[in-house]
Amino acid sequence: MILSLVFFTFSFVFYILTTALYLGYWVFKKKWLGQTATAMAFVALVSTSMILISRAGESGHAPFSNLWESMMLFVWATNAGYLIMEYKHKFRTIGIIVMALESIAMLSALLLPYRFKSVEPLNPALQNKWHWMTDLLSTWGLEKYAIGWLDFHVFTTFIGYAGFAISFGLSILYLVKEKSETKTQRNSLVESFPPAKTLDELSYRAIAWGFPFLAVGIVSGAVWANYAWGTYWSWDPKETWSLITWFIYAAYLHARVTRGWRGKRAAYISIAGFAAVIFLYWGVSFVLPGLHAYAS
Amino acid sequence: MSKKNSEENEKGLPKAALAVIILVVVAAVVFIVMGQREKFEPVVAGTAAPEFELPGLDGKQHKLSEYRGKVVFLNFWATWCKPCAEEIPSMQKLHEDLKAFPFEIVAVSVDKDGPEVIEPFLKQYGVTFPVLHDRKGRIKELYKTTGVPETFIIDQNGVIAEKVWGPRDWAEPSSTKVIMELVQYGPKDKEAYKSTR
Amino acid sequence: MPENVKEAPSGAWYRTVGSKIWYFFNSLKLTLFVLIALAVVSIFGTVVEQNAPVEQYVTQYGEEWTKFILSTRLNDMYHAWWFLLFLAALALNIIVCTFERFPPKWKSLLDHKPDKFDSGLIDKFSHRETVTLNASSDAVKDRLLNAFKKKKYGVVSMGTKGDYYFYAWKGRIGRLGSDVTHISLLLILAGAIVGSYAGYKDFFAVNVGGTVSVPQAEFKLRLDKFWIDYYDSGQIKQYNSVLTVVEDGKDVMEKQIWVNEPLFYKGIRFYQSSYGQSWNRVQEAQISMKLKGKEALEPPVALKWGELTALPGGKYSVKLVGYTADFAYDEGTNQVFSKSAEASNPAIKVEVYEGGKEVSSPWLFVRYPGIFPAIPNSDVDLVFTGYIPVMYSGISVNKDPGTNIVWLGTGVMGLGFIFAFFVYHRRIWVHVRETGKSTEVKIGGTINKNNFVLEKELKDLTESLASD
Repeated sequence: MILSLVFFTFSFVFYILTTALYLGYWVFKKKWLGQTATAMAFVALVSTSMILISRAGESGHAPFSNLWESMMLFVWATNAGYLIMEYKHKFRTIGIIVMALESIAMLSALLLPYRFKSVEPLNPALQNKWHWMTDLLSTWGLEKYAIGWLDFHVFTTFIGYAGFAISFGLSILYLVKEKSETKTQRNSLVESFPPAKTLDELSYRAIAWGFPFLAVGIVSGAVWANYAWGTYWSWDPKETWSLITWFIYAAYLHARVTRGWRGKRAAYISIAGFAAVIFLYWGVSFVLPGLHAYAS
Repeated sequence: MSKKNSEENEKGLPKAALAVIILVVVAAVVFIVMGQREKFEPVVAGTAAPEFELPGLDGKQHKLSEYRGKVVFLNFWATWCKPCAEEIPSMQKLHEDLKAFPFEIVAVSVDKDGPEVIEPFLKQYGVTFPVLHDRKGRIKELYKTTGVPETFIIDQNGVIAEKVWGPRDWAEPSSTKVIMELVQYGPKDKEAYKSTR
Repeated sequence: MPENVKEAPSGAWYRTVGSKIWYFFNSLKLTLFVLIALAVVSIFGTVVEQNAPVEQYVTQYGEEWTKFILSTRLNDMYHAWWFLLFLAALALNIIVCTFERFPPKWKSLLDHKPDKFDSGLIDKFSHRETVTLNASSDAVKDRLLNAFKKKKYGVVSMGTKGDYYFYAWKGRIGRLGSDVTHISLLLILAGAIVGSYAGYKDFFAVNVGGTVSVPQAEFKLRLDKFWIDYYDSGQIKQYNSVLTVVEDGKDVMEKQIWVNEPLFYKGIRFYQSSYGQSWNRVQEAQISMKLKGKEALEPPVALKWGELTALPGGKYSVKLVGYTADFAYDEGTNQVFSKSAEASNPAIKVEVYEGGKEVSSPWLFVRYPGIFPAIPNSDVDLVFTGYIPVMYSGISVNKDPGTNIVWLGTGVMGLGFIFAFFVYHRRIWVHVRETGKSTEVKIGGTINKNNFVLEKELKDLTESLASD
């Protein structure tokens, strides 16, 4: 039995349930719904962790080697990031949009053709382990758990994506809330979200995590490229799009300290940034090679 | 801010009740999912070949179970796949060589295009073995294939005896060892097939 | 931050123009523009394939568009002057802004302590708390100083008994995060420039036993072994080479390399990047004798590369000395060469000896047996029937002296990020006033980012004052 796919099915259901619970909490505002939603989000996190762990056991390498596996990492990081944010700031109504994103992500992973979900051995270009780590782990016979630049690069980049995903959700809520705050008639659903100023601040906090992690991801990718192929930057579409994404979020950070660019315009930039993340993650793999295919 | 205060006054659920709800939900999900465990089995040698129903090029529907009792060479291919085209001549030869035996080649095309593309292709290679057409490609999910061509040698009881990734020269005796053993000596216990993986 | 445009002394027009240019670069709005422009413009280079052969653009876009692509250098846009202009604008923007904003910031960070306290100051802060405690102002003072000490704040106290003022600070270095990050970006840019002018990239296909003459270096590289590892499923797991560095005729260093694991010597890196079937060498070739009058060929004889082998019959010996995968002949230079790397027209060159004397050195073609007689005036002809190929190892060579500057830049950037995102500059003012039997404490402050942290700090501090 392919255990990672069993846990995937569990997790998919758990995320749908969590989204429904946060939706119920947002609409009905009952505390017990909120508590159950948070608890369910935890269950989903544990289940997602099990996907990654079992996949690592099945494949013999770190569980982020293809699109499906990395989606699981993305869902895991976003879930963990959200729970930390909920714990620190206690704003449960935000949960609905983050969990809706998670459900969409799980659905996309579900719809991928089987060849993305199967367990495959790594091709030569993707094999890399840090010497110091294999040496250290070999004292307990655990060398096969050593990782290298590739795993580090993928992991840090996805922490970045998770931060950007949460910020994307918060920016949308910000635009909705900001518009409603200018009106005198207040929609009670929108009222239950935190004030626009808070949403703006939280969105910034999410990017304050995402941006440096993306930078570490880009740099570690460059280190790996230099080590494997002799050049740390070759302007290929994947690298270039990661830089485009980084430029957009750098613009966001500078917008927040520029008069007239805080608030709404910053939120738009955050949304554009996440659109770039989606293209970087999925678009480059599916859309861009298509252009090359027409040529040959 | 008054909403927040009213929520703080709301007691919510005690931790025990919360734990019970969560446990019940999780147990229900696990129970339902595990009830469908075949979906998570890999489709490899030693497991039962999933049943399917697909149209032939004449439009008539055919089921895999129709061929029960014969050794089935289930091959997934497409007209745009070069290695598939390379192995078709040796498949045709195998079909002709084993005509007198309870052996059948069932070639399923996953071409998105219609029969008007497949038929000329088959004519060009002089194919006379049965060809079925899965335009939507759903058989790929059912058999969990990762590419074309992929071939499943299915024994007389409907159990997969061998799974072959990629093309083979089916004229070579080493390629058809499993097929010949099944045709001559009949099906084995499914555990025996697991060693061919 | 208001943008001041200083007026130059009259008559010095270049100073006016100069200062206008300077202040043009001293703008955050310019930063936003350049960053967004870079993002948008970079997209073009991902849609139009970079550095592709001209024919490919013509096939994909037609002649008119191809002319446009080539004239604007869209096919290599990241090295085009207009793209580099954006990068230069960003660099100038960073330099000018840092020059303008860093000195006053540095000064204010060093000179941050207030000389006197204004009792109304704390009321003006948006983050503040007021508590009344049942304790003497001295007891409160001790608790407060303790709390600040635990939280690692710097503190100055002022005032007299019953009316104390405190100013505490922490995390000033957090304000330097942006400057450190900006300097790191300049370092990275500098490293990239150094690399592109002082570095090079090359590729060699080496056969086992062959040597690579390393450009811009005083040493050679010899390939001793090449092999491929496979998974059980038949997929390729890894390809490996064993290389020896030869300097001044001596073997200096030996290392096994594989994909992702290069050899590094004297600033130059050698990578296992690919492999293939050699087009100018084989391990072994098989030839068969064809005797006059007989239809069928004699059984094949294996010839190992460079080895003299006696043929059955005792008359002739043959040595395999050449191979070419796609035989072509240059009439101008009288040279045989391989038209391509594909084995489309494989041919071997053999030297035929009769009783120790060389009688012919023909080329034999596997696709055209017997086209030219191999041995003149003989009853015996030779036919080339098969061969065992030799794999070449594809080694990429790369020298980039700017790489270390780039890594230094990324390290500095990491430091800058820590300061910018995770260190907060907090300034807290406290007024402790004894009012009869109890003490009133007013506490408030500022933080440069993440207001939640300041709120929590103030709460923590007031709570610690309530108890010991």
